[in-house]
Amino acid sequence: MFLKRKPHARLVNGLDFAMFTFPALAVVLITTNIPFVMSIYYSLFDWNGLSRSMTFVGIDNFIRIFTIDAQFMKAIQFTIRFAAFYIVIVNILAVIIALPLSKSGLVSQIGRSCFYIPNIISLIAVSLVWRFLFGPGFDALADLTGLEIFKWSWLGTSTLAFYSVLILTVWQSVGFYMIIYVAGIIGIPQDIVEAAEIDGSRGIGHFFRITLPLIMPSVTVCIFTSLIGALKLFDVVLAFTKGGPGGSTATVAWNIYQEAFSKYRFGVATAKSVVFFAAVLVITVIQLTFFKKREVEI
Amino acid sequence: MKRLASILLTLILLSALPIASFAEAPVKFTYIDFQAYGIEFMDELMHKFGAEHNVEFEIIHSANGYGDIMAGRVNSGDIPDIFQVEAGPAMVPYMEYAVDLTGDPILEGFVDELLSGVTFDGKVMAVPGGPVCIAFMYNKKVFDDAGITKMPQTIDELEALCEELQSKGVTPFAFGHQSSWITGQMAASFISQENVLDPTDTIDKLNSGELTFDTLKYYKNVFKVIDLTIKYGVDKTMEYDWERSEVALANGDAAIIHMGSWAEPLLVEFNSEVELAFMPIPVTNDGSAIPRIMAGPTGGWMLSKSSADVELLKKFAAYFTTSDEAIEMSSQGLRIIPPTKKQSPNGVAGMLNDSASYYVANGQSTPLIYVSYPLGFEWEHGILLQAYAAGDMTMEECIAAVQNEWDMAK
Repeated sequence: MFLKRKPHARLVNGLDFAMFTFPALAVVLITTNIPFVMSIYYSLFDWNGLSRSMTFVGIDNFIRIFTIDAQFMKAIQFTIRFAAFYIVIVNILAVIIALPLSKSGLVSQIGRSCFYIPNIISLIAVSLVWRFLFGPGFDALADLTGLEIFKWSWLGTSTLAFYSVLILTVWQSVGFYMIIYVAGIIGIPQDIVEAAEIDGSRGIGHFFRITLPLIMPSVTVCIFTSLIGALKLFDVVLAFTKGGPGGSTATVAWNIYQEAFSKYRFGVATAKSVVFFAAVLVITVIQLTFFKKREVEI
Repeated sequence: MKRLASILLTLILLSALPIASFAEAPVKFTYIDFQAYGIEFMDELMHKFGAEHNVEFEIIHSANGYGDIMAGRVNSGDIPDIFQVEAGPAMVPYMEYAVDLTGDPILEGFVDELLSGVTFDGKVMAVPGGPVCIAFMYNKKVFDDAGITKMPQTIDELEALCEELQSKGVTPFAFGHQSSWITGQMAASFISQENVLDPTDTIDKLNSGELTFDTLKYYKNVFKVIDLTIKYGVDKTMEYDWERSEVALANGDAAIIHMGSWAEPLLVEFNSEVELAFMPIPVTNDGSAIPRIMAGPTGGWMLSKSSADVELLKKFAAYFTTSDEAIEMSSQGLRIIPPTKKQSPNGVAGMLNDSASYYVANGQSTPLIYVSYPLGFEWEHGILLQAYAAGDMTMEECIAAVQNEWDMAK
């Protein structure tokens, strides 16, 4: 019956396809793509985000953000530094945790849940809890233990504030990456592992020669997700440090948000977001091509 | 039988309909402000007006995120019926959506100076709110216990005072360095002192380049005072936000903070026995300027042109600001001087108000200059000073960055 389909069946089929995809497509267009195109348009104007009138300024906004906007440059530096640290630490940590937890059994199931729980709590709530921990919590610990480390101002100095943000985000998201790696490790065909073990593969060598190459698809996904997550970091900054002290933990996303809603410079803010989008696009494309090449086919 | 039952049911349902439609649907007003203090008093007034005039209020107090809520609402055409605005350039973006109140009888009750704060090109664009005072604020009991009676006249005297407090085992400062707006407001005192009588002159000169942050008479002294707030401050002072700073003052854990008169209801809530007063800010050591507190109008409330019932909205605005209930609410609840000519027969409650009145009468006040900054400057100003306080910038770097920020904003 399938082969005997009439010519117009193809059309019907196509219509079916269009009918089912259209709602999703429309939602994506309206909420993401059309606003994006509009923001390119707004980036060419001097606009306060509220008024009905805007002044066309050409590429002035772009020139301004690259020449005189020192705080934006600071935010870019912070974001790049944060992304570099975050991606490396969260992925290495996730793999280290995933290796023992990929065995079946009750213990590893409990372990997986423990690591995953921070991920399902709202980042805003988590940030507030950690703010307490780093503040009055550490004060109490300092009194209790007398350790110097608890006396440091973790949120009050820019160097330590960087690590505070890093520790919080890694703690919060490591469970998510762990799950992906666990799935990857479980998916390695058992016969390959056994064959390698018969050949004497053990320990670190086994990991680098057998496990890692075979979980490369997971690595690609995790690096990609953590890269995007790090570059777009916003909520932690909002609830945890407010970009402070002195704008030292302001991310690009935070800077754009403040430009638009605290300084009423929507045109400049959209110009920044267009630049940001282009940068993220380029970085992720490079990352994906690089890692895709390293995936092995079995 | 079945048919009879359904007819009866239908009749019952129909009879219920007219009752429902006779009750007039309430008018809906959306109210937005950026108030963090004393909101329960305002809500009470709104509910009372609502009950009397069949108005249903949607009330949003948004001390954080006011900007994005307003941007979202305005751009989607869903402009709140009545919304709070800061005085000065911050009002401009909303002007085209607001009712022009020039000559409207509801303005009669207001103090003229406050009306001029919400007037642009001769048009009154908002109903004004009461004036606020901002300066150092100290815990009187702590000062009394330490035997301090004299306010410092110079920055050196402020330091001596801190030494004195410290020698008595008291932590002098719990400055809210984490809330960068506090540092920004303190710095405003130093800019305002440039020309006490005419803040617009200072703003104009900064705009034209005739003055720079490097050549402002007292601006560099901000950094000296910031240094003092750290040297004589609580441990981890950079982690103190406005709330922790207020708690420390109320409980006597520290003697001095920097805050505005709006904070009194909350400070009293933290410690009902707290005694408070303002300390004018010394801005120099050379005696060329006396210490002052900042005092002035902060803004008001705009009414939306597109409101469903502008007349009723005006009636509400008048009730909310100039009615006897509103005057009492402001005087006794918020503990802020009402913006009206008529004042409460019971006076304005509040130790801070008494203290501020003393300094205003004594000629020791200066206008709230920060409301006249170019839009967007104030936000970054505080952050840059915070960067200095955190040790990330030197004074020279900070002044250059502040100048750059002004030039971008003007």
